[in-house]
Amino acid sequence: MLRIFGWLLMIVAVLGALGQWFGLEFPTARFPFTVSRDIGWLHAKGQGSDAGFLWFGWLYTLIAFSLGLMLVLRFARGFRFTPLTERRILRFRSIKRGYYSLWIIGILATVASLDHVLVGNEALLVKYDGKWSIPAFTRDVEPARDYGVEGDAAQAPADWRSLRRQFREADTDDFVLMPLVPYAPTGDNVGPVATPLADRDDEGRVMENGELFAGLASQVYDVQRPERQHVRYRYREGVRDGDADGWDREGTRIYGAKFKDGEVIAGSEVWNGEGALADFLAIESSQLCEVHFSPAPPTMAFGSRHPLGTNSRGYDVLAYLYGGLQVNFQATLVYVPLVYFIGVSVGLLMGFFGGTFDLLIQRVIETLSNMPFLFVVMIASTAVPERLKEAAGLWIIVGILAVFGWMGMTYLMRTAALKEKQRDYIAASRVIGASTPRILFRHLLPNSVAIIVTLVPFSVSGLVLALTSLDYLGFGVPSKYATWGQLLRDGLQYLSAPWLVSAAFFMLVGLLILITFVGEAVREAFDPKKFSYYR
Amino acid sequence: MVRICIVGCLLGVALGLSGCGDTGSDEAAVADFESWYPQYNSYIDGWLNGQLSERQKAVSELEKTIAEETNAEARAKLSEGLSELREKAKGFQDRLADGEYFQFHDAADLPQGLVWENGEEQPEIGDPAAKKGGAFRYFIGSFPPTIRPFGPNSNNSFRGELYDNVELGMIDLHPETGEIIPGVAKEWAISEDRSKVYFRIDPDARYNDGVAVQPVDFMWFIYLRASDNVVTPWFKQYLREELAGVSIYGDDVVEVRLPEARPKPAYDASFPPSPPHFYKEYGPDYEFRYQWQVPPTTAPYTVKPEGLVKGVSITLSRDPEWWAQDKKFYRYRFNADRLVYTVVRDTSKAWELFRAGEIDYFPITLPEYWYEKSEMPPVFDGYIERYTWYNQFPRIPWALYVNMAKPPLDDLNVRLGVNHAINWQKVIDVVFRGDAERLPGWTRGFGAFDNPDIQARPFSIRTAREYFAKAGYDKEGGDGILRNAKGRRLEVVLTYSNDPIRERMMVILKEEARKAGLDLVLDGLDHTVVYKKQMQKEHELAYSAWGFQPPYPRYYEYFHSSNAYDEKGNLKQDTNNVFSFADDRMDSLVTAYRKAQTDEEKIKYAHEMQVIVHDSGVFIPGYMTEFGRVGVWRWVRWPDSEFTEFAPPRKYIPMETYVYWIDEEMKKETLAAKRSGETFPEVQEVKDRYRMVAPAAPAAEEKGTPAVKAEAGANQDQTKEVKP
Repeated sequence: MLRIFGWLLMIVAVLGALGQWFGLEFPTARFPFTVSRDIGWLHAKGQGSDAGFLWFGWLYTLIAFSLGLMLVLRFARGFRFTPLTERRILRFRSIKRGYYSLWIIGILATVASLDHVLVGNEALLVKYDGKWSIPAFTRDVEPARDYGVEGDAAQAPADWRSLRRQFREADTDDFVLMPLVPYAPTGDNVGPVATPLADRDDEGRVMENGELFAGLASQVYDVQRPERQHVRYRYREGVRDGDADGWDREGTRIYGAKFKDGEVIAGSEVWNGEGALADFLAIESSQLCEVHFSPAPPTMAFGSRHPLGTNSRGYDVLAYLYGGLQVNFQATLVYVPLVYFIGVSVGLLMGFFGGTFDLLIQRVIETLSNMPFLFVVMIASTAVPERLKEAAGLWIIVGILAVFGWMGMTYLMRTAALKEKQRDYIAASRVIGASTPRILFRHLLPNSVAIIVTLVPFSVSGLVLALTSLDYLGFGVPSKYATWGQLLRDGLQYLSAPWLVSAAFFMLVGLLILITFVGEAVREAFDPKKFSYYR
Repeated sequence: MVRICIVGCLLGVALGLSGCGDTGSDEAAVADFESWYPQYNSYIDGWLNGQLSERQKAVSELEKTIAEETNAEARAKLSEGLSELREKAKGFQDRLADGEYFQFHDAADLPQGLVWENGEEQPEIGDPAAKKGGAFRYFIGSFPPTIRPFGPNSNNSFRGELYDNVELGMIDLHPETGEIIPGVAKEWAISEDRSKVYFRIDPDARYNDGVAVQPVDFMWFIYLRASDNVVTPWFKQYLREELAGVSIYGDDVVEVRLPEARPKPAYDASFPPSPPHFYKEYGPDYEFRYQWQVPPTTAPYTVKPEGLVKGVSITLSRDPEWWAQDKKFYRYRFNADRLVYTVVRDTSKAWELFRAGEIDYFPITLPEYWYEKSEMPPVFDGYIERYTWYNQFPRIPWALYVNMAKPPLDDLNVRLGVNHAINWQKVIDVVFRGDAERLPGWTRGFGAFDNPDIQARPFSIRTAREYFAKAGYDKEGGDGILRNAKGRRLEVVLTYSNDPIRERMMVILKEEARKAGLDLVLDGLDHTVVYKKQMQKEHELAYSAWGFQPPYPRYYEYFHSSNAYDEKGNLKQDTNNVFSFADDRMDSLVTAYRKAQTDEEKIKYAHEMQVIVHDSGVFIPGYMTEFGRVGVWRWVRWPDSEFTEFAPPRKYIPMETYVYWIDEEMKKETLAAKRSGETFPEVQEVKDRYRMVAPAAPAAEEKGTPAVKAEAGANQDQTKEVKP
């Protein structure tokens, strides 16, 4: 298991390095270099605003590679854990709920690491004019002019979704292969979405969900861009009733009328377009549909694929949830090692040295834990310069959380160290002449760290919850990150859009339950009392 | 008019908390106007003398410099500054010549030959069919930190409902024609040089507690705000520099002197009286002693002790004996017996309360309310009625404000490129669903003062990139963002206050700007922080707006170089010139505009200044709406008379005109119908009597493009209305 993990780590590190070298972007493997490029002090100054040498990215790659190598060598084929550890693993496996939860989380992590292969607005594979390209995997942005786009949009980066439509309609062998979810989690406003109103009752009245329709219904020029409407009618009890408006293709209002019980009121029609009014009304536009501005409800109609709808900023909710999941995993991967490194070492040192050092750190911990955490976050979120916040927003929040998150385990470690250092084997190694670091890291740490393992899952769920609630309060990460808290907040602002709050709620609760199940199982597996009431 | 300026400041409302606190000792101070005003007179005298000698010194220094200057061009420029300085010095001299700030005279001393006006020729306001009675229920987002009309924290958003919108000053502006109508003063006269105004107090004028209004009460207004007992920096400056003095003639005439001639002096000189009998205990502990006391005012409404439930609601009750209730302009307004404002912190909760009939009125201008949320059964069943109401209020200039002191925005080509890279049209289409219109330029809704030739620059990737290339940004980086020869990325920080709707707008602007190779770094901050950042001129681009007030568009505060840089050439903080705009031609135009005595002159200068603003690209016009939309329960009735349709147009919010009334019988009928399931015809009406631009779809016989003609016509009408 750990050996496979080691191999994976090495492969990812090599991929990342290769990608950086050749200007390619591999899913997840690009991560250290992206962070290094975005944050000013993680790279050497380059020419102008561009980053120079990405030392952090390379350093990270090196560390990941050697870690992987170490794991592979250490847990070579035929390696066996100590009998105690083996028994714990066995017991963990026997607790099915926790074991399967771990598998599901693992699968989720794998899915999340597929990144823009699965969810994104850049094409995976494009064939145009007989040439092949892989825009999603190249770092440089490809301008639309290279793909036969003319006019104003030619200068802009290519819009792959509309290119795909064009290629399909043109009926050549050009094609665009998009990811499964062809929307990016953020920064990809999809605009209004149209849903068809196809149902009619016996008298030809418009129905929706089995009831007579009341609301606004439109015919649009292009169902992909429903903001340009052709005519819009107000419906009451399934028939036209009230104001009607019509626009030309440029969006200038040129027609107005009033209806009563499905009939136009004589003399109420005004017409200011060219040609005859009848011709305008007869223009072939879409079937009757409802135009939803963001947030739009779930729909798969007219080629738009939003199984969970869109949020108030016009982002696809499914993609947004995926982005939120990625953020959670990324934050966890940084937060947990950081917090545990600080917490475990401080706790260990407190227990081992005792005395003044112990007293001093205890006071520091007390001071820190009495600081109003939310105020610190609020102050930090306004004090950080906007360019840094845009580049490193997530890491600043994770940093603050880490500063306040390491205290919990110090006392546990301190107790364990106090207990262990009285043991004979410590005294024995001291007599042999082992140095303090050797005693600390070779003997004390492996024997006391077990109790800490049980805490890890709960730290993870705590982090997920903290990130979500901070975002919910509006002090979280900048808008370029997708976060579930933001989605929850959105949902409460738009109570009439239940798909927002329910999507965020189910994802959040689901993930937290999975983590908690794993946590319970780990705690149970490490429980020194064999028989406990948890079954 | 004092109240108007305060509302202007409201954009920068800084809310704070102030507890009731304990006053230290309960011993009351005694207000002593008699011994205070001589001190203030001598303080003003000293201040004027100080300012005068400062200016005179500057004049003599400048004269010397001019004499030594050899370059003719520079000399002309210096002379311009010299004449401006002399003008200022003369202003102080004139004020000194007029004597003390507070003066008391006999009725016989009143200048001869004054022409008294009373505004009676103005049309009525409201509907004679209005009935008195009933309660109007609305909500407020938070409970006010104090209900004092002045002093710390008093400048909160509820002060309008409590005082500013209902209290009568000396005069008021007619909410339809914009002309002056009587208030506490039944008539007024203006001196020949248009800098002094004489108000004759209406003998009927009373406070809510029945005490008659005296001329000296207007001096108390100044005493209470200018004395050292209270911290009111804004008022202190205003009373010192925007007013030149107050005199009483006999027992019913008050003279208010202004520091210079004004086009609408009576309006600038008007403020409400303060009741001396209420402020008997006014002293250093004013802030705490009067924290939760409502002073008697000249308004039709006051708060009774039981109407104040801290943290929950405030109820204003109508004075059944209100002194002005039978007077023209007031008899058909202020009809509801009670105005109940309940605290509802969450707007979506307030909407549910409105739906259930617990709140009578809800603004539904936002598209999601109009097109979605308000498409609901109570509307279909006719219980709730919806109105679209066109008004004539100056359009709020929602736009991006460019700080041209910050690179790369100091380059004209970059600014013009940014203008073309900002896609407001998409924001209008997607966020406002095409309901809003693109704002054409710096001012709109001021009638003839708007230059009709100015149009906002359209979004165009090609044009934007051309301008950026001219500025040296011609290389595209791997991330699609342009770079110049030095490798500097074309990125600009966009500051805005982080409200969900604004966030949606800014995200769209960012995505679109990226297509033109421009990176907008989004900087969403708390409202007060944004304001502070702008005042310190630390922003690059800022999305915000100023609350403009009729009748004249303003330029000096926003575009004069003296508001951009100080003498040492540093950026000047706490001025409205957030553009850091400094231009010689503009300076002289602004000065000429300020001094202009007629509207024709002002219009000419205003048009020219708008061209300069447009050409400089410092103002990226956003959007505007020409109307407001409201939903009301059907028992809230609105005027439909020869005088007024729905609500007079020179207000921003129809509720604030107080012309509606509550029909109690209709309320009973509606509630009974709601219980029994009976319905009424659905009501959705457009009230466009006051619409300034012809509707986009004119009647069939007017084919062609009459919209432009109709607009010009509307502008001519406007000229008439705007004239003082």
